[in-house]
Amino acid sequence: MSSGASRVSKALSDTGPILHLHEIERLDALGVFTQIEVPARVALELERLGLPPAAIRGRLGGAELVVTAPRTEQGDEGDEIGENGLLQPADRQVLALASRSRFRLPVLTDDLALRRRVEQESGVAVGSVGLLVRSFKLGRCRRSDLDQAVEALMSRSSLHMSRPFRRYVLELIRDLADR
Amino acid sequence: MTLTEKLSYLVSQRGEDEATLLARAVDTGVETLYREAVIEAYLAGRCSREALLQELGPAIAAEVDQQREALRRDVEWGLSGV
Repeated sequence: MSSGASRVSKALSDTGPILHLHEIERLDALGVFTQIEVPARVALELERLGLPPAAIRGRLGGAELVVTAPRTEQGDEGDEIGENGLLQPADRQVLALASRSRFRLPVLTDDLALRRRVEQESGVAVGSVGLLVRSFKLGRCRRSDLDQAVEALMSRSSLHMSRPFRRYVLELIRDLADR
Repeated sequence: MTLTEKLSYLVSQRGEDEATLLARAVDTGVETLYREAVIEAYLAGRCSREALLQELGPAIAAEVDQQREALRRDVEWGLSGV
């Protein structure tokens, strides 16, 4: 497939996309990046969910997983950014990393509160759906794989998307040409 | 757990009779389905935002808009790149 999209280099991620893509056995979609950086609290959340970084390295479609230690001992880096009351501690660390990059790195998240904060700073937030579409666009999966993955993401993963939004997404991707 | 077992559990836990619980279940179910139908119509362009606001209130309408925009941008990013 001829595509204008390219494999972009690096992204920051919270727990959501890694967990949701794991649940539908499509962690390889993260391979649209060469490197995924997560803060320590995200790594801890993943570990608690049975996904320690060591277990998922090598399953990310070629992307390297990097865990970044917080700069503060308390691990609550990110509080200084303000208006973060709605964010979980792990997401605050992601936001802190994004701020450190001056919001130049895409932030992978399915959390609407984190997405809002990233976009307020003119950063780019990308969810699991976007990762699957990009994976298709880059020729890393077939159209039928994309359809199955999106269906699975919305019905089987813990993303919990209601029926109206499932239909909306399916409508958005309906006319994409096959490879 | 079957539906009957769940109903029995609710009867024992809540101390309400089966008929009352079933009536409330229908109420809740219809309310959920109605809300989904309104949102679906809005997302498909068959219902105005004013109607969405009127039917579901400003908080849900704002949430629907944010979720829709997030998904739209996601797909757009997937197709066009950063």
